Amino acid sequence: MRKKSLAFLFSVFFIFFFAANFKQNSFDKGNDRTLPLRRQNQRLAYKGIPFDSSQVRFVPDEILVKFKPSLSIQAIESTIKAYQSKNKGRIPRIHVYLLQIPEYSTVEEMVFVLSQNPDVEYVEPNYIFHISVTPNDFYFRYQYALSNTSQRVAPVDIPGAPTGKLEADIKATNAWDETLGTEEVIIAVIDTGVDLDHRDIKNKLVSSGKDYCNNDDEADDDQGHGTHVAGIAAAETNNDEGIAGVAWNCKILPIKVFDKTGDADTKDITEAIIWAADQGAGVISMSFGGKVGFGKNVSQTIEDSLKYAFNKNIILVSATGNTGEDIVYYPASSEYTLAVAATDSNDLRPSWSNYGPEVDVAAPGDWIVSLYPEDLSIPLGFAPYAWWSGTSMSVPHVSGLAALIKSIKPWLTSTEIMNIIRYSADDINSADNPGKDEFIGYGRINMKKALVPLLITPSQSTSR
Amino acid sequence: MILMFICSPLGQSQEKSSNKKIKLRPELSFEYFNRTISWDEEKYSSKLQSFFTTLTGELEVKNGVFISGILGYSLSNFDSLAFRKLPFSVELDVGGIEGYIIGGEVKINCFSVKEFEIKGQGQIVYSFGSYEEWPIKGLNVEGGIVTGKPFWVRAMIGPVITYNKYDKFFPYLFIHFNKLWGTFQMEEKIKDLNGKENKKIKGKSNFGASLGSIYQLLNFLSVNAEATFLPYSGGLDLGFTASVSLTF
Repeated sequence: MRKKSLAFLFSVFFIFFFAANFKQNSFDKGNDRTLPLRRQNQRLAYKGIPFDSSQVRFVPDEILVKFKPSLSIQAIESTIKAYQSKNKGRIPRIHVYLLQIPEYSTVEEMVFVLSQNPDVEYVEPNYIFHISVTPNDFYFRYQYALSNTSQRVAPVDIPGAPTGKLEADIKATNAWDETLGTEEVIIAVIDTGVDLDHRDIKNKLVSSGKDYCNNDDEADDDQGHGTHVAGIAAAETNNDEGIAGVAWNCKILPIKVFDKTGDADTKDITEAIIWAADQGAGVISMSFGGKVGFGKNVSQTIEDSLKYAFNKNIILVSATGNTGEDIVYYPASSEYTLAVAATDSNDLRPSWSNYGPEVDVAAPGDWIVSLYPEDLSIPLGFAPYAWWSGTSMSVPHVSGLAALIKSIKPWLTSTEIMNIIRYSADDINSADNPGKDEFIGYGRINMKKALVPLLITPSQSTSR
Repeated sequence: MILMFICSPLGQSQEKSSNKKIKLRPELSFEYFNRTISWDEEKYSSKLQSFFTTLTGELEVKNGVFISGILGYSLSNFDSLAFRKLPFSVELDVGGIEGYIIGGEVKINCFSVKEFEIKGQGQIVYSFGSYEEWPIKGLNVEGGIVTGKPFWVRAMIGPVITYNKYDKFFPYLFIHFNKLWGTFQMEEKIKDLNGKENKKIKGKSNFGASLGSIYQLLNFLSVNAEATFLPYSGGLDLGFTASVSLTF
């Protein structure tokens, strides 16, 4: 029995030293700095999965190994087999092997074990790096709506462009620290279609959509409005081109119901809403509206389709109107939609933004740069981007935010997501109209508050 | 059970040669640890800092076998723990959360080699945090609150090697398998928005070593100081304990 006890002690010693000597300095760097880095807003996101940039991330079942040059290929292959790993390929020139480790093992263990092998020059995890949270898109500098640095909102050769006011924005860059959205969340844009070949969105389209004007499956844009709206919501981002979309990784489903004149009828709109819902849209962006009903501000046919989509847990977003009247256009006035008014680069309500008790929130809609169809850019070859204003431009900012929330919290209902957007908005006109008001509703949307964890501080806490 | 298996034959042999006598040893101890915990399927990590003061009553149930009951008060800090499954994600920055400690400990004398005495030791402590309520600030609606309640368990087992060369000073090394796990229940209520999240946490390190010494001031009074080192892949966690014990 004494031998048994000694064996036990020896095992404990061995295990302890194994753990204590687990040298993975490359892993060490992040963890202890977690808190300070987080406080500096260095959190990033990867494929919609929130993560902390201070944490080291790597592919869970892969490692990179460089064997000593003296080792033959046959010897390398048999070494890989001996570790029950699979050779997934070799990086030429530097002769580094990508290995898939056995299922029962972890990257940490394999890195440790292989580092003890004298034939191994170095071994490390297949680290995951990530994109910069500030996108490199050329026109991002003019997107005050996403990040307002008091910049001029358009190039100097565009006359009349105002300058912005610091932080009069929707805090997109802070929110992108948390998520960039997921491809699974589709934003259906019911509008004039989308330029299907536009360089800054063609890769973001889930399909060529549906065209109710020409009764085909090519929702191409011959007007420009839909392309502009779709770009704001989810243009291809961080591609050294054009603008940044609110929802980097979410997809766009183009639906054309408005022809060149900008008109569409109830039947087509209704069918488009139902079709979008049936195609799996998570958000339906409706940058249109109108006065309807003989005394009632509702079209019962469209209302039924909105209810149909809402019951499928889809978030419906619509524009209040651009006539400056005290009426919220339909379908924004519907109980099933988020009614979106406009703000400008100084966090003020433009006089043309319609208002009324149905207004839920506001978003930047003045001097907004976004995509313009390449075929319509005059003179031909001119950069296919344009600055437009309207509550139509406010809507896709909110649609993008809804898509991001749905990306990281797919279990939430549309009512819950609508309430998150409402309650997190900044009450920017609280000096004159504290609380929810008919001009900007709950306020200008704030993506950071809606997405990034709110800090819970101890004041006034009570224990039970 | 493990300790009994390893050490009981030796303990029994000691028993035969010793007088049967029940001893009671009350101990007041103060412990602090700073432990790296992981959560959300190890996607994130943060620190759990806990300070607790306990009263331990130790009984020598037979020669070389000691059983203790532990009761105490704890203050546990889970700051940076984030809850992303609630409608509004929240991150704790609330400092220490009060709670109480219940636990038990077993020590079994195994054998001696020259001046070294080998014991087996196992301990489990449960920390039940109080249910606390905090307001959610920064939203445009009033009255939003989160309520949370932490719970953690620490279990450690391993051999203690004590150097008995000196009369009143006993340095020792305790090498232990050391597991920490727990949950943090959080509930959110903001007007008509409600959500619940039950977050599982676990300590990153599983093995550690404690270096300490017991100084016997008087025949019935001794003081103990101990430093604990818990390595894990990526860092090292630390803990400190100080205690005063009486022997009757």
